[in-house]
Amino acid sequence: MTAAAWTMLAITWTIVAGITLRLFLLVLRTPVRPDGDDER
Amino acid sequence: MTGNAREAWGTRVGLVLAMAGNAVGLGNFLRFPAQAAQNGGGAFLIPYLVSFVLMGIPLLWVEWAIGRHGGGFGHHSAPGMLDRLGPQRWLKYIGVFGLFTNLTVAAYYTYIESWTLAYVYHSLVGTFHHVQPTTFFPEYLGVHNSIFALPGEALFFFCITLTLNVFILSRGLAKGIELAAKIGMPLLLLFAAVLAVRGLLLGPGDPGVVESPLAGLNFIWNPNVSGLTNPSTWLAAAGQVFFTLSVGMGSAHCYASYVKHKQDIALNAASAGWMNEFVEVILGGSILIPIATAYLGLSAVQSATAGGSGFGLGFLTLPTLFNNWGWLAPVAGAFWFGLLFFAGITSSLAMGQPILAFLEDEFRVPRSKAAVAFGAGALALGFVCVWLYPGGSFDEFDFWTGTFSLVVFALAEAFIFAWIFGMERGWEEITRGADIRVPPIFRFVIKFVTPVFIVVVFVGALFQPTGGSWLDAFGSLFAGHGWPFAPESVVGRVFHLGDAAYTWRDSAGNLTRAFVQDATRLLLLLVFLGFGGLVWLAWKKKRKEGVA
Repeated sequence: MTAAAWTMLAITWTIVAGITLRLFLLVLRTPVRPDGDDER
Repeated sequence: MTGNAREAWGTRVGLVLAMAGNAVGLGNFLRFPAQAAQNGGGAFLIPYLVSFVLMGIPLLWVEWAIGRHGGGFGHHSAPGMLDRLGPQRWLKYIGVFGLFTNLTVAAYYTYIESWTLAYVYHSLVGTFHHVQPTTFFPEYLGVHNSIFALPGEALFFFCITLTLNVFILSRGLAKGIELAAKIGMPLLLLFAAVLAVRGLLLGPGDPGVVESPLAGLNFIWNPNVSGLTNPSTWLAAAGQVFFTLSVGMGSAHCYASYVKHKQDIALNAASAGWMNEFVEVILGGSILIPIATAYLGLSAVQSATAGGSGFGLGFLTLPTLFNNWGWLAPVAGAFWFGLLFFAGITSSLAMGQPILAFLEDEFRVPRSKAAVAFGAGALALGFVCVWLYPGGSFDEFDFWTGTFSLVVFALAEAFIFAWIFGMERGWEEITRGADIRVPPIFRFVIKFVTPVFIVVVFVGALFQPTGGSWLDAFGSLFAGHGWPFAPESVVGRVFHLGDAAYTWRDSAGNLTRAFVQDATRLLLLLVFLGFGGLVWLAWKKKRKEGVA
């Protein structure tokens, strides 16, 4: 693999994996807000 | 109260996994790597991620917001949701797309899903040790010298797959769809990770290996920077983002409609969207092309993916290549087609739920009966795809329902949300209860940039030029030779530009592909009008009851 290909792969994987993991961990850690009445 | 007012997601993770499962489909593994490789390699990822941020994520927020807003009024399908976005009476008829698309796409999509199930079985029993998939596949589909096909085994697996979908849907949100996503998504990730690691570790010492799998990875990731100035690359990237997220269907709206009034949608939508990107960019790009390159060599893979699809490699080539893996071959085949099956079923369930919700909400049909009605509808339409597969009916379904309708509906909903519902209320809807800070710039993006992106995708599909080169097409236009419409463009398809001689019967009096194509279009139009009639009936009933 060329250096340019490795660079693109490393940058893209880091961005995608980093954001995905960060957001999913936030989903896991944030408790759901109580909302008793969902029908308006 | 409505028929399914007590339906709710069991857990937040379940909702995010179900929504990610809705987005993750066969295209993540078969279409993305081929599209990336053919459109600038690593450089493709730049317009791809730009499109994701400026069109994909905003559109997900819009769909979740429309869904939760409509759900608050007891509507869990698109007609009712759109009806609540403004006083215009025609809005609910735009929502017909959100029913039509789901049923018609489910019809042919569950057929593809059933192929993956059949391939899991045939991988496990070792069929591909003695039968070439290139022989097996046409035989399986019943493709002979006719426009008709009645393949017994394919119909059997199709019925099994549909029955499984109906069974899961009939169990409800938490005990059905959510449970399926909680089982299917982790297994999909596990299967994909195992195949990616094994594939990338193939070396010269392994039997049958002719080239390093890294040459395949290089094919996908080596940046061809000149592609960035080519409009075709941007169009391909925007199209890939659009279709990978399953937006413009009405299914994301439906899932989001079960989220309560003050609960987050901003983080949930972003998390599900990025999860789809993880599966597509990291796992989807690391299996098919690297493994195929290792055994076939790069030039064979380049020509196999020249059309921007990895479907042939995935179904016709990979099963044979796994034979080189010794005792692992049946497991590898089962993993590959198993992950495609999980990717498929988590999407087809999302297509079924809006139909069930419409029947439950608007006609008080019990869930189990609504699930059976969905299954019967998908079976009837799917049978047309099976029976007329060689005549091109399947392709017509794929194009008009799985491509064209999605873009039309997404375009309409983006404009309705930003310009009729209004960005003031729209922004409040997106950010209410948000567990992340949505950057204010997205208010501008949703109002102006996202609709422009969808218009570009729409115009791209409408006027796609022959050979895919827009620069050459404009050159032809300005030279006075006219616009070279590709046969696969919307205009090209409407006017059958791909047919040498357009006729419904050939010289021997037999029906032609053109007949099947036109008949399929008429059928789809009737289905659309049928859903339109149901919406009209439902609202007539509401007016009578004084609830419209």
